[in-house]
Amino acid sequence: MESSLIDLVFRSDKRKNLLILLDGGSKSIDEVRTELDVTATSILPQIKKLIDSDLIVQEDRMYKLTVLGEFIIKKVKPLISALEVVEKNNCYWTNHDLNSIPRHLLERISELGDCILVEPDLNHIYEPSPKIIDSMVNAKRASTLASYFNPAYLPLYVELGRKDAEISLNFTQSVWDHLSNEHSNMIKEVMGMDNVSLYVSKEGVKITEITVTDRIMLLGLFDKNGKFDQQFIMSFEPSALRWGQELFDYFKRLSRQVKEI
Amino acid sequence: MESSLLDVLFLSEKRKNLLLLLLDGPKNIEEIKNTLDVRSSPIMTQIKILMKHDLIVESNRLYKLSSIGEILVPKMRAILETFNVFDKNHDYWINQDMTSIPPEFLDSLGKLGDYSEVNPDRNHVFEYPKEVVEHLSESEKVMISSSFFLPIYPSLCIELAAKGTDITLVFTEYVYDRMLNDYKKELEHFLNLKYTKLYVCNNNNMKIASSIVTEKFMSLSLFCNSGIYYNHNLVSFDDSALKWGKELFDHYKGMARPITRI
Repeated sequence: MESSLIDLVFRSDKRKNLLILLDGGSKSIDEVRTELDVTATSILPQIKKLIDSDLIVQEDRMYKLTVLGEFIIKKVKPLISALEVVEKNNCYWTNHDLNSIPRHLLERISELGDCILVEPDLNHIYEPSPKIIDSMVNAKRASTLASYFNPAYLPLYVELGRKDAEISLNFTQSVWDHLSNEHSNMIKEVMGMDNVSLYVSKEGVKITEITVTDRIMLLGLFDKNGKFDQQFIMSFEPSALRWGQELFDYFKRLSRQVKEI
Repeated sequence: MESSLLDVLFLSEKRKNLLLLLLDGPKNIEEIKNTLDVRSSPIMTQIKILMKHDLIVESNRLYKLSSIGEILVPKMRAILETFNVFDKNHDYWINQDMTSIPPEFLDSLGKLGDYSEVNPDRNHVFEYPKEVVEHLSESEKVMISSSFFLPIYPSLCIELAAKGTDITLVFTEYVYDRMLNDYKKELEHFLNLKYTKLYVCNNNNMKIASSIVTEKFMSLSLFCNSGIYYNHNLVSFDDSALKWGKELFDHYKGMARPITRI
């Protein structure tokens, strides 16, 4: 029997990588060698196998995917790109509670793209993380949902509000109670701005924070024991910003808008 | 990047089957052993590997997919289903024009499931294979879409409709014209029968050769890449295939106009 597609696509990294490479367009053997960093003798047997199984063809010294090959790669890609996101920060995803993220967004986790893990800097543990502040100072719009909120961030939002940024803030009831009691001046100021909307959501949101601006997406989750470890996943990719915005909007629909303290 | 999770997902039949089983819901070890027909110690080895990679978790003696598992396993299943369809009849898919299937249906081709290619014997080259005719006559609700004319259509459709089968046809203009020209009487007769409906769609709107869906089975046939057609049917009885076929039929019907009289 001919080898199965599973074996063909997944049992050799060389074959898999070649298929993914050709998905970006036809390539000559030299381009294949350079881009995959392989020798001709090691890749040619794999090319032959893929040609024999009708996944690629050779035309005018160029290798390209067949219709079947294109379709196969299209099927394989959602898993590969989800794996890339998960494997890059495997510890974060497996040690944190993903239950509050709705299923339809979890399925599209690959849209987060190239994420970086933001860990607390031991020298600034009680201050806003410089990385996060830096990425937000010039935001033209910002949406934040927080079930844990460091009041030290509040001046940042006040400043953004003054600079006419479109701001949506969504806090859990306990965070809201704390902010409106202890920081009522700043809350009153942002509340008076037309470009700022405030929402309060019920307790039980198992997300520490989701922030989306025109430049970054920041996601914080509780760890498996329900603790906040000040770790965040951050991404700059446009698809991640859209993903984060959808997550924010999902919770916004479950919240009530507040217009006064 | 070397993908170790990819290996964990695909490179063991036992692991694959276990992950697919857990997609249906949490299972205890007895259920796993019975459903997969495996012994304790080999499957425990695989369970440990899956737990080590955080793809499954155990609580109260029940094994279930982790959140990461819930993200990855459905995508893995989609790949396995599709690969299965191609592996079953590699030459068919290489030689037929699979792009004639509308993209959203091609995307879920895996739903064809456990299909097989049925061909008429050489004495009945212009008819449906015997098996297909048998399944058709046992069906109560028949939906046929076709972009080519098969000479048995007029007699077969009338025969089915006459015995009370609910039958809906979606033909391309091409097939409809042929019927009008050469089988006008039969066509009128058909339309006058109870439970019969006919729709006609633009030639460009249906690129597959034909498809049949009933409550019992579905079949699909495509043209070759060269544009040639040979009489065949891919027949499947799987629920997922019937649903797929019904949706494909509705897709064509949605682009067609009803014909009530000629």
